[in-house]
Amino acid sequence: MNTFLQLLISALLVSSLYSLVAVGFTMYVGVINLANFSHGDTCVLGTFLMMPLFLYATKLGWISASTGLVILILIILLIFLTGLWGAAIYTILVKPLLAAPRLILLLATVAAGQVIREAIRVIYPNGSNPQVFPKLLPSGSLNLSGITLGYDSLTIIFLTIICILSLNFIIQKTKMGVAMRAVSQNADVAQMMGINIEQTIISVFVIGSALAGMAGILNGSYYGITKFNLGSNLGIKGFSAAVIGGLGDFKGAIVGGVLLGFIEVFAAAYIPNGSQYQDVFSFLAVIAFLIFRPSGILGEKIFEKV
Amino acid sequence: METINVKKRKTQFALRKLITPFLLIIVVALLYSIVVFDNWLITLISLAIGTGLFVAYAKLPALKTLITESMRKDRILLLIVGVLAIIAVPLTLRTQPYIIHILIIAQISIILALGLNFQVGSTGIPNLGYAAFYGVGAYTSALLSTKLGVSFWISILLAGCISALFGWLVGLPTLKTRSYHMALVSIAFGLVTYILLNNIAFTGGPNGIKNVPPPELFGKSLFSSLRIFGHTFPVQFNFYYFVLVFVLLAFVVSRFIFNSKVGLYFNAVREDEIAAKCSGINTSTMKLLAFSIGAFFAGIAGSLYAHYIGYISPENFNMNTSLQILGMVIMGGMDNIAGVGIGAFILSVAPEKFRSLADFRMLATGLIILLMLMFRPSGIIKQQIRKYSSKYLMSENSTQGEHHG
Amino acid sequence: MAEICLSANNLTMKFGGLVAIDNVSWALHQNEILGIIGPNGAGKTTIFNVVSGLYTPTSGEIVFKSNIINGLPPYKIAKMGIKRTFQQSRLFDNISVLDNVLVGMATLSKGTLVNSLFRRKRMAKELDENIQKSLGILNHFSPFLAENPYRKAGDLVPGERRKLEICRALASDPDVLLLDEPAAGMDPNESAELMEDILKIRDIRKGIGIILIEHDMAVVQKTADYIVVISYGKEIARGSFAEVSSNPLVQEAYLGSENENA
Ligand SMILES: Nc1ncnc2c1ncn2[C@@H]1O[C@H](COP(=O)(O)OP(=O)(O)O)[C@@H](O)[C@H]1O
Ligand SMILES: [Mg+2]
Repeated sequence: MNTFLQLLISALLVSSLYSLVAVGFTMYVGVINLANFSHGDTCVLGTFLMMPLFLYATKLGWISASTGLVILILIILLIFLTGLWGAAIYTILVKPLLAAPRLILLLATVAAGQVIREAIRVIYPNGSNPQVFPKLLPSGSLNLSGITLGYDSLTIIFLTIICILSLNFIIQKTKMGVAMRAVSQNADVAQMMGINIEQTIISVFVIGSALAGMAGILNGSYYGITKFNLGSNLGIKGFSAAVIGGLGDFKGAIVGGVLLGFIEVFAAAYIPNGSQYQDVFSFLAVIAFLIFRPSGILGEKIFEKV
Repeated sequence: METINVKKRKTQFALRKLITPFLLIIVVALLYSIVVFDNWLITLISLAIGTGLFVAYAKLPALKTLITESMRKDRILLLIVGVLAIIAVPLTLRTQPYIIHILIIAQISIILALGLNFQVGSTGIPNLGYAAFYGVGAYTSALLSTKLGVSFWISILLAGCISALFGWLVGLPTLKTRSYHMALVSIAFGLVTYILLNNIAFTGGPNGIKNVPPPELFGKSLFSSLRIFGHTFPVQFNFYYFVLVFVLLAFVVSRFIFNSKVGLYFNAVREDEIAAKCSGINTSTMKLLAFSIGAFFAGIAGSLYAHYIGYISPENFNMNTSLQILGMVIMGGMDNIAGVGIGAFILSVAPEKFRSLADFRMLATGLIILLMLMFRPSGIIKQQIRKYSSKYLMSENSTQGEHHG
Repeated sequence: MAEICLSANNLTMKFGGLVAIDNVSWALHQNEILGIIGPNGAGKTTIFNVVSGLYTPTSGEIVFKSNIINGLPPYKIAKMGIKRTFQQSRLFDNISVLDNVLVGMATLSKGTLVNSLFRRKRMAKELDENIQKSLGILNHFSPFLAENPYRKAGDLVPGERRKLEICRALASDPDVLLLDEPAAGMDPNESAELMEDILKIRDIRKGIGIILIEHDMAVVQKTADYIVVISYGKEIARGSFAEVSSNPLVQEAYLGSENENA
């Protein structure tokens, strides 16, 4: 029973990370029907931006003084930076290729991911090897009748919930959110209604990438490690989660992320040798969904417009 | 007045005749310096000159027509020189087996790129895990010949077929979905294959398979050096011609499919799937076919690689390899067979010359793909309009319609 | 009376909550041009999408030569002899004009895929015949296209694109041709010319039935033998042009949509 609860917490943790990545993916698909395959690498870019920031802050002696606050500021700064990166990706890469066949754009995002990864590897000192990532999250743990609840896990789950709730607020309640939903549903109509399409798309990229950066640093500080090529796997998991939940649907991305996280953690625990093959299980889940329910858990059947 | 004109025309005519030989000399010189000199500076300069000439060719319409026309006129000459060069090159490299080795790897890459072109180029389906099919072929062939002692010829055939079967299976779940689903499934397939190859004891795990026997031809191993007129030729020499046969076959088959109805229907699926369906094309069959044929090519290439190098491991077939091959197709020109061949050649030979910069290889690949997609998505050579030799069509020239747009 | 070749019985198509076609029935006879008209968003294109197999209708049936065809995949329906054009033209842009028409003949070939790869002689002969036929069709609609068979379809002007789409659909000698606003975006002269060409098809292709969707009532006036008017997915009138155009419901539907557009 205790191991089960322990696994539950682990699963929630992994789910949080996947959901954060999946939300960006699903939003890109929603507004411009693009699967951005550089998204996972944006997460890793976040970690590699964070490390020098942290180092610098340590050098200035800020970290020891009032750690919590400084880290919070650093995280906000990082979210800002990755958000900016999202806007850059849209302006430099996506926008010029919007008129091209979708295959070209898709391949371009794949190549962009490769460029991010490899640029990190060759630019960062000793970049080919795993890097120790600073512990941004509180250490220690809570012991509840035999179950250890790491403060770091709890913080991650808590932060994810905050992110998701605020995003939900943005989408449901703000003008920007209304614009996003309108563009998702029908860009032409949205434009006629006077919505600034371009601005909406950029804000989606900013939000998506900022969440990816967040996911990256949470992932990094939980495992204490980051590496230039972690992004491909994280990105694919995020995309898988989005597909499972129903592409284009914000809530679906979270549901998918949770499902994928649970599948992985429990398969690794209960299937012999499962931890070696946990990625295999999650991909099998995606393929099963593509065959039996391609529109995902929450997605409605889409009739492609002709 | 008259005579001057005639004279002028005569010299012009003579000059025009010289264009093709002149071009040939430039191209051969460039290729030779890229391939043979083991000096990255020379390679870089040659590549830069080549790129410069190509840009001039692409940007100056007058130069373009001049060159295309003289090349068309002298295509027999071009063909003869080309064939001779391809046959003769290893003879001049008797003492440099490493360079022949690079050429063999380039040949295998050409087969791979031609295979991927069916999917990405002709049919417009992204395949980001293509190296996995290459790996399936290599492992199938290596396992069959090391564990069961199956002969090379049967191994390579089975390698192609099993890889094709995987291609078909991977295509299945995405028939009714969108292209990004296909991208996802192909990446997933690539990763799963990589994980399995690394973890299964049967395939040797991360150590891979060693001592894959070389092919046998007429009862003789391809690893026995030839002696001609008292000269000993390195074993690479044998392999060069051996793989060359497969490359030629790959070109012939690709060309044949391109010109057949199947090639046309592949294009229809790429251009507009809905219109293709409503025209009566079973688009699912076409996609599966593109996947299977491409995977078949990869399987053959994998088998050749395994039996040539003699040692394979999962690292040969990871995501980076997939992107390398994708880069070849994009750089050469999607759906242009000659272009894809050129792209594969450049992207497999050039990195060998920049070994001191090996660390930047994957970055360079990524940048090349990205820049090509952004600024010249059609690749080095654009896809061509199919021409038919039917008596009902007017003579080629009047309907060519090479217009400006 | 000529035989019925295609009919829809109590056809309904819902997208989630939206009822795009609401219990509509009609019949198309051989040698007939049936006009389906109605304001924008009435559900006309959806009817074609259902008939051509892109959507499976929510209820009702489509009968073609006394077979129920709803639920069949589009390529099978095309093979049976129902071809269509699209409101927003969907040409194969990066291949030639001729290749577009040759794809339109995909349903004709008796040869299987294997044949096309290995029986080269027979295929060469078939190809030659197909090319001759393609050029004939192209010439009927646009001599320009017939003279430029190697032009990339993506480089054509809109008028030529529409014509090429019709040629592609007609290439396999279909029994039923569905034309979705073929004259949209054309000037009155071009549009009148096109309608004449369409009328001529009926004389050349004996037995063909044509459904013509139009937004603009004036265009169908001379062409359609019989007209069904729909609005918000429901049939509101049917009969000859004179009959439907004098129907107050029709006038109201059109006036309403004009006001909306303004
Ligand atoms: N694929 C689809 N998904 C959802 N709604 C659709 C789809 N296709 C059409 N509709 C809706 O059905 C109605 C009828 O559309 P349509 O048949 O295109 O009209 P028309 O061709 O008469 O202008 C419209 O309200 C349209 O928005
Ligand atoms: Mg319509």
